[in-house]
Amino acid sequence: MTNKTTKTEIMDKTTFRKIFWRSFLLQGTWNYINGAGVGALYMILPFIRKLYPKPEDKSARVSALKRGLAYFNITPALAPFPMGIASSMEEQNKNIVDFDPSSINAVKASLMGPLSGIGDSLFWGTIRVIAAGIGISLAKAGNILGPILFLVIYNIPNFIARYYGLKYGYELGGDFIQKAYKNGYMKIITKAAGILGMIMVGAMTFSTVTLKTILKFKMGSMSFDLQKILDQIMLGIIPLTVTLITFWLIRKKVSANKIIVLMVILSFALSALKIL
Amino acid sequence: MLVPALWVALIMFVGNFSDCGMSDPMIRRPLVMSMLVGLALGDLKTGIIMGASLEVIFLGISGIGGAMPSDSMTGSIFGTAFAILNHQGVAVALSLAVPISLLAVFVNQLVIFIRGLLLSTFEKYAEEDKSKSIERLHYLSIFGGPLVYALIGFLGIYLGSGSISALVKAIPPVVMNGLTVLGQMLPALGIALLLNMIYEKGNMLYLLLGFVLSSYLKLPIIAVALIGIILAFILASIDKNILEVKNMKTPKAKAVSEDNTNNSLEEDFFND
Repeated sequence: MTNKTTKTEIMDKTTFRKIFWRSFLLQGTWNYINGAGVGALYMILPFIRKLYPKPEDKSARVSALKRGLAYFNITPALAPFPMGIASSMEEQNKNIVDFDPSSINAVKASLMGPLSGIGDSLFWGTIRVIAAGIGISLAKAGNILGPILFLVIYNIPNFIARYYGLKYGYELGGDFIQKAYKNGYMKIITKAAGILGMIMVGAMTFSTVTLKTILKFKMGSMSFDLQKILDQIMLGIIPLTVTLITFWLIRKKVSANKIIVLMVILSFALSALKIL
Repeated sequence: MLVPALWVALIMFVGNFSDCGMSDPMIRRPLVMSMLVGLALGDLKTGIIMGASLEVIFLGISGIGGAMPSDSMTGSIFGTAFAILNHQGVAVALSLAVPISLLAVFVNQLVIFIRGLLLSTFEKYAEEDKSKSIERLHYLSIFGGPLVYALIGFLGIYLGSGSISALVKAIPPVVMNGLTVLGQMLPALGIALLLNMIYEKGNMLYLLLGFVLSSYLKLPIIAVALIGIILAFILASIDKNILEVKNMKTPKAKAVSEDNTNNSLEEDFFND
């Protein structure tokens, strides 16, 4: 077990700055399937390149790239924090022989939900409303300072959160994990992160897969609302079932492309039949 | 109408680009967009004032009585543009912006879907260790959406609200509904892929726990996270005790971890 790393070697000033600026391009490939996963990988690409610079590191680099593409969805301003942690975990993964790489995505998954909850209400609910309030009161009179102050007031916290999020995320991840390894607690923490990750993914299943049936049918004088009946069996049974079936298909090595095609056909067919 | 159409196209581009290429620094909000439209169409002051009233409307502080555009960015750009070009009031100008913003919402759904289709290519690049290609495709996708928005911006002014309205009516409802349902179904794939990465035997139950906390108990995500942290912490301390008992039984292991025995997990957790 070797766990001596010099932090500054890989996360040097240039790399840090690159990740910071790249964090603004997070949402570029946002889609329903992996959220901002591509942007998340794009963000830490310079770090992965520095971590595995040699051609012979190819297999380690490829698995880091594939890990980086996982589902990621968060209030953009707070993204640098979990990605800082993820970078330091990638670094530990290279340096520590028995590191469990699946814990990297478990940590990301358990952070993105609560951070989005905080971030949305802080940035959208609070800072934006304050900035807009000041902006509107000036703009009402046709003063150009209105829109300008609106942008400035919103974006100062936006930049600060990104900069310090990345900095502290990276430092926290590194220190915490190194200590845990020295104490021999890493296996326990990995397991706990996995549990927390699963709980958060469970909650996300309900909040992001919002499928509902609109099927209603009549039998004599009785009318049935299928969604109500399903809700009585188990609330959110459709999102849970669809997600678990998809998970099962992935375990059966069905490619994501085939699943997308299947979902396109199902969506259009079932909505044309007025079922979904 | 050619010059104003080009200006509006540029502003639509900037607005949408600020969302996907700059992580939404609020440039696409009515306050800023309307100001830019005013600047481009030669009536800065009206633009700024329109921006203030549209911001109030889209923040949900005040209603306007009548149809609201479904997309605040397209709605405020076209609302301001029509108000300046046709000398109309806010309400009339906004109702003219409705069909165009419907079109923008529809096209945006298509763009998001196409980005999803790019994922398999991204995965292929990752598999083949082509990180440069990942970056290039990401850039391409960042510019794709704004270019489509620019096109809508151009057509909206050049053809006028009436023709766009006819165009939107020509989109069959089956396609609209299908896309909406698809948008609700596709996240299941993302969640399942994530699940596949962090799944371990025996922890499927925790997925169900999180699901139930969120569905039946309607807990906000932060409450779910706190419960999850507490539970994970309890389970970790149990494991830690077991580990320590094991270490006591095997003297060799004890010697290794001797210097840490009085360092409990809790202390470490909070010290960090």
